[in-house]
Amino acid sequence: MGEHSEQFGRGTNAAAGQNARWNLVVPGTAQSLPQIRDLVAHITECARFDPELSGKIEMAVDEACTNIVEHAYRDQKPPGEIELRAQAFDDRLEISIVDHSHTDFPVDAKPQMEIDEYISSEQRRGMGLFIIHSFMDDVRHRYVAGHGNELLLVKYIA
Amino acid sequence: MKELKIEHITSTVADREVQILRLEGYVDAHTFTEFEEELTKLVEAGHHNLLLDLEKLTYINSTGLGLLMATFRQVRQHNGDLVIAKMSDKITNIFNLLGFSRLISTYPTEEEALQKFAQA
Repeated sequence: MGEHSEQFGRGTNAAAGQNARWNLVVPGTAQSLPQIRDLVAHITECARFDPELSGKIEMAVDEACTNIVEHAYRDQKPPGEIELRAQAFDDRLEISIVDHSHTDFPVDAKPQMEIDEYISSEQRRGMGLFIIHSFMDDVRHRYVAGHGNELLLVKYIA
Repeated sequence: MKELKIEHITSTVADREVQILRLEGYVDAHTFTEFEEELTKLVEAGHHNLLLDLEKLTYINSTGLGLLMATFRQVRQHNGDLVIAKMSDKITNIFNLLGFSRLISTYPTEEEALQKFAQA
């Protein structure tokens, strides 16, 4: 696999096209979110997703990282880092999001509310989990005490 | 690009004052508070006719969309409205997928959006 040395923060991209891999490590703060979204937009372009799917993947990743910033790292001062690892396979894109939180934050838990209920309710927050589950094909989470959370998001290429 | 820039102007259509907000940049966890404060300030001041021009908005997260929905409900309770003009294709897709377009009206231009208030 030829090396393709694009830099995204403290990260690298190895090879463009199928089976390409990307890695990014950024501080677990809201200021890092644009950099994460920019990388996801770049990845989905390389993986040749259409604009609608690209927008869905970008939003799912942003919501997952926002959860880390606002929940997993909420009581951690200073917050730890967020590591994003992505790999494009022939049939799918896998994005793994890792934090080093002391809090088990089960993002793979099914959202408690469907979107129609949300829209007709008075709630202003809580749509993030719905978006992650609706916009990605597979959502898996694991928490390892002493290490943190790892969230795997998968989108299959039609 | 600035993280979030909000330009506010007032227009009058059919004797109704309409507050136009032109957003440039993105609404995410970092900029949400600025967006929330601007909308809250307007509604609390009694402005219930709101037009959001999103031509230069590159991203809006779920909390930002939730704020739009909450503000829409609030202004409707006061016989006002919240409409959107010039939303990008990318945000339009998300807006439609989440079902927000069933409630909040969107228009290709500010002029067409303003006409909604003339008809109301």
